[in-house]
Amino acid sequence: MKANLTLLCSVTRCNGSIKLEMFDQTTPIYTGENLPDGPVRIDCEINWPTIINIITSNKHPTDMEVDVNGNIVKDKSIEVTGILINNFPIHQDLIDKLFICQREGSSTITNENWWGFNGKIKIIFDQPNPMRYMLSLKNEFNMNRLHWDLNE
Amino acid sequence: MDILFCSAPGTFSSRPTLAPAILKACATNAGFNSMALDLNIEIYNQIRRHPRQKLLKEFFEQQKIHKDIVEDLGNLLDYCADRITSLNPRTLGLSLLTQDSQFFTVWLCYHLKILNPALKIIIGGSGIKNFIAESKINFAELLKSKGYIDDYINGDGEYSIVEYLKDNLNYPGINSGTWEPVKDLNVLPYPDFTDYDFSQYQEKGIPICDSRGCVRTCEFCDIIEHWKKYQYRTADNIFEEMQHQIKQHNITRFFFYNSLTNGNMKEFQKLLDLMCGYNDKNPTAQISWDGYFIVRNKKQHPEEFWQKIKKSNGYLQLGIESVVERVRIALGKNFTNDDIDYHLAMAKKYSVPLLLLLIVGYPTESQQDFEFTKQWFQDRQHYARNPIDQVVFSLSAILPNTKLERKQEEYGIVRGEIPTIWMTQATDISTQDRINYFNELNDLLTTLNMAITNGGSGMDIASAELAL
Repeated sequence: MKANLTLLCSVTRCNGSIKLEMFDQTTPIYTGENLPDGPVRIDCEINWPTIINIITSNKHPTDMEVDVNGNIVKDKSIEVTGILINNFPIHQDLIDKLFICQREGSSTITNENWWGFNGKIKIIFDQPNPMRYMLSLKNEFNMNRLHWDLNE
Repeated sequence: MDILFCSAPGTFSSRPTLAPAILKACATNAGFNSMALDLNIEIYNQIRRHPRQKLLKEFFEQQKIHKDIVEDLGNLLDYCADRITSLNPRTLGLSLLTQDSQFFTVWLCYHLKILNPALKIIIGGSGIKNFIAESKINFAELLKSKGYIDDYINGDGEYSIVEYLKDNLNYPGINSGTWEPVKDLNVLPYPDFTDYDFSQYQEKGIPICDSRGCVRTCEFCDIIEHWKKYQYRTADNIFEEMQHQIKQHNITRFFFYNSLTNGNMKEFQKLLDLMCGYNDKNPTAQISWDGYFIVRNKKQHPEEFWQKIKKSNGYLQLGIESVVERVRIALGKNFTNDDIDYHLAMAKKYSVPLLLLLIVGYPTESQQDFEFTKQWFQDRQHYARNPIDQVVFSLSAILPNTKLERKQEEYGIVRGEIPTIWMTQATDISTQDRINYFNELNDLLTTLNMAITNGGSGMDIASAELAL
């Protein structure tokens, strides 16, 4: 079974952008290098069920801007603000929980949708079909996400 | 198969749905290979026996996905998808009778398009207009924009579905808000129920569409916004169809799916005569029927008229709406309380069962009106069971695209999330007050030995309580 996975992202550049490589299990489905600042939409056709593996790279210790008081004003990163499967949006409150993240050099597993690090990220689509997956998340066809576009 | 016509689940009724059978007849007439599937009854039968019935209904009405029904919902959706795909249609025509089918339809179409992207899906019916969750959103357009359906038909589908099958997408009503009503209901083919399994229905009968639209213009009603002109079939045409269906299915009970059976009194009187004549000739297999019925004055419904209703085995559904005369007349039902009492007396005399439809807590009703209503029922306790077979209560709702919605400002109405949640500055009666009043009325009628049914289409107490 095939499905369309859409990630709505917000990219922050600082000495370039995070490099993003996505795999449907081991098959490459998307590579994003030198992404533009701001909203980016990633659409991929995937098999179902599957595990999507994501590798983030190109983050260096200097890829951050700090003001005179030490506050971070810019940090090279990608934030996933939306996930859609065949245009069915996953509720915003669930997004971070679905990503299983492991930073380079660390064995700690975190759930986050802000990727300002080099590391590996997984999203597991383990239900027999997207309908069952959405139900298992108790993910309603949410009114607030119906008119989702890249500027939101 | 060129097209499979299916009723979309969500109409919690144990009666057959009509649209798939009508559309099948039209498609067949035009030379297309089609089938009619009443998916609504198949799902209804699963839900009504289900231990988690209440939670499942909450999904239909408000899309609540309770953890205890995740598996059940998946099974229902898989069941529908399997039924449809096993018949291998090129196109699926999904008919939504009311907005109660919308959430399930979203999920079903979503699922079907992933399972079989090549399946063309077209939706239609009076339930496709505004999204139940947000009246400003065009439901069909929304689904089309998401890719869950390919096309939709607004309004009467008898001719437009045939044009659609001929790939004429420019026909009025196809993917458009403007449509042309069928000009003459008498020339349509009779609905084809040959694919229906009538043993599935608790209420076994044949639906008949005898008219469309209404002769009244009640401000709460969305039917008159859909069919702006009242259209009717002749008594001869209706009776011919009855005879055809009796011959086909050996069923003599008929459900008139309409806004009113007695809109055109001349044709209705004639139909009564035809049915009475049939019953005289067939005393062991008599015709019986039920339908919505306008209360009129004594002169228009004289005693001999009641004798014919009895002889034709009629069951009348009376849209009383409010027993407060001032409120009722102002909302568009122009009959007096004396007229109601006359109907009750006649129905009792001739044992004609009545179903009374009432709106609980209409925006123009006051606390005193609530008390009056309770007293009204107490004073008519002797009509319990005969002739008042049932009382159907619906919580007052501000439905989209109605005169009432347009009069919101005049009534000082502030609306909430769903049609039954609203406040009016005129009375200070809250939704919770109306729910309490609804419950009081329920309790009272139970003590009066009157059977009560809760109204559907999101106008039941459970949806309102859930939304509050």
